[in-house]
Amino acid sequence: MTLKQNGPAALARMEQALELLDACDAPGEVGANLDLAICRLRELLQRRGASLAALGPRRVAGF
Amino acid sequence: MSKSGSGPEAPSQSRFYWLSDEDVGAAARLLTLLARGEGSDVPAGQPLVAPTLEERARHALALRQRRIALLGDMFSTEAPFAMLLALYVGRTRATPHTVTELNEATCLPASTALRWLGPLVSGGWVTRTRGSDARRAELRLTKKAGKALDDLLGALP
Repeated sequence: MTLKQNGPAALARMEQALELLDACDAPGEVGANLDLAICRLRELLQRRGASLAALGPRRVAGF
Repeated sequence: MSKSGSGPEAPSQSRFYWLSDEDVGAAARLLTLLARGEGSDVPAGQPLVAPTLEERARHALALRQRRIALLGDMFSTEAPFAMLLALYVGRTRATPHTVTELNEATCLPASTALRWLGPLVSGGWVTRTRGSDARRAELRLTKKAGKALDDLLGALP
């Protein structure tokens, strides 16, 4: 079990969790903290050469 | 140190002795008091002795605790506080901040800064209005946030 192998699956679940939180009107600060964790994990996995192609690009909510 | 043959002789070892931390602290306080007097080059209130790294760490921790007490639990996380600080630093400038500028100033990902804007606006810390260019939001610190940061930063030595 390495982060490079399992990180993409973990990242996908974190992104699913964020969508769930958004859908149920969770406090914004919870989603914001999770969003930062997602960004950091994504950067880390990219640096380690993990394949994130299956996840696709991140969507950023606009103003 | 003295040159041989001229000037005062170096003191003998017996004239040296160790000072306790309390002695050093008392000397620092005394020098600080003296510095407040007339004829000193040191500004009033500024300590003559630089704080130790441990003292700085203690101060940073105290500042964090004060920040959470003053601003609330939401600011136990660094990101929203960094966003407030960035707006506070530029509060006197003529043009309001954009989200992109906040990202650059705080080193936060765009998605995170955008998400934090929601709680910051709903909490009354930041106002967000559409600018002349409808795609760009204009961000400003509220009076409530300015006052809170004044109080927080005013506690710094």
